[in-house]
Amino acid sequence: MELLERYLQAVRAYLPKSQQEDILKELGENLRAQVEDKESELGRALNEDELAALLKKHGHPLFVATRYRQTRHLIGSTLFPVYWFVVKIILGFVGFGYAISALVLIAQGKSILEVLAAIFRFSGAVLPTFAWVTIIFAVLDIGNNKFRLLEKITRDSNEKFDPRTLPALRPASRSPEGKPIPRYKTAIELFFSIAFLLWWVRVNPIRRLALFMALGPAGLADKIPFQLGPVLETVYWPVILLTLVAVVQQVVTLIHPERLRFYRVMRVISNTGSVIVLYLLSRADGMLVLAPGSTDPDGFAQVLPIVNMALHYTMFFTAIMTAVECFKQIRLLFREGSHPKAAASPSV
Amino acid sequence: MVDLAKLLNSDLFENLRLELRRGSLIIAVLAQLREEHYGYALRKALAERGMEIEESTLYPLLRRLESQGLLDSEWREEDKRNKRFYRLSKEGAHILKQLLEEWHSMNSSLKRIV
Repeated sequence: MELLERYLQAVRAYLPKSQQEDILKELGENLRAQVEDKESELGRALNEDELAALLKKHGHPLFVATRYRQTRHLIGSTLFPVYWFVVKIILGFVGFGYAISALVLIAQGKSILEVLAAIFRFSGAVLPTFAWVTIIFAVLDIGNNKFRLLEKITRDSNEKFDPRTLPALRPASRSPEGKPIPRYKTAIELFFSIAFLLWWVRVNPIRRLALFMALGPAGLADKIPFQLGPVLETVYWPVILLTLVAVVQQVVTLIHPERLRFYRVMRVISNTGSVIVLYLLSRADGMLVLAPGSTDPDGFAQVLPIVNMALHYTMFFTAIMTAVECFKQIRLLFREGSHPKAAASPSV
Repeated sequence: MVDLAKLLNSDLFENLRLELRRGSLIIAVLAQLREEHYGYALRKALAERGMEIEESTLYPLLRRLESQGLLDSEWREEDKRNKRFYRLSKEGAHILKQLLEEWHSMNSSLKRIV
């Protein structure tokens, strides 16, 4: 029945996400009933060729999934999966371009306002792109409805379709932990990792933005009352190293989101390192110290213990959360390592 | 040229046949679901009465009719398997009655014309 699961997996790829589970559960049951019916007729189990013939008769996965899509007025259900795929790719490229340009502006030392303006320009660029892609596909759809080209191509590919050539089952498509890491999530993590790295190596606008977020308008004052304590200087290079490990992991995961083992091993390495660094920081007497030449040293000296205490508890709880995440990844590594087949459980 | 004309004619016939069949299929499905069935059993029941429907047409059609309120469905265990059973809803029964009247009327008109 592995072929049947592979077939359902292929259908899943073309179904709207919100209905995937429900449709596949029902479709799977109907196909299994059909297989059982055929088997009781023959008095034996179906061999792979017979099962492949049954699935071929049911139709190409794209053709089957298309029937489940609701009729759309601007772009028909036949072209819609292709249209949506193209929209996601283009928006991803535009978003990536803007994230890179924002990072370049940060590295050039531009002001926070200029960086934020560059990020907000993204929404302005997205709308025309989205509109153009939609118009092109609407025109293609009109042409397709008139000449029924896609229907002829689909019919042709349906005739040539061989279920035995379907891809192997992906691991644990049922549990969210076994699914490939979503690219948008990795892209966001990568953006923040690079931004953090630039902050850590003291790229001024990022540091000022972080201080503004932590201390309010006082963080933007010319004379910042606090500076990093000696303990932060101790962990300076380990933090850079750990962030670079995270960046490497995120770049590879962005290109190969299905490489879960690599993802988990790298997460365990960076999480373990982070727990050690956070533990050292939470034990330190003061992460921040008064900066020399402060305008109101007595006033800031009274605030400093409160700020350090808040940072101490923040580091402590972050260390606990990071340790929990680390154990989770180790558990998944062991589970997938000892039961590789269990990960490839049926998708419905 | 002759082959192309034949091809166009067969395509045209196929399209017209599908159009003619589409409405009839809905009546057949609604009528058969006066008795409860799950997807595959319904397909077999219709086929036994001479109405063959492809699975890729029938299963999405059932979901569409349910979303239009013409069918009710529930997941239930049968033969140690969970299956989704469909049945004609009150609204569906009302619509089916109207569709059958329309079909009878069209049929008599066509007989007089043809």
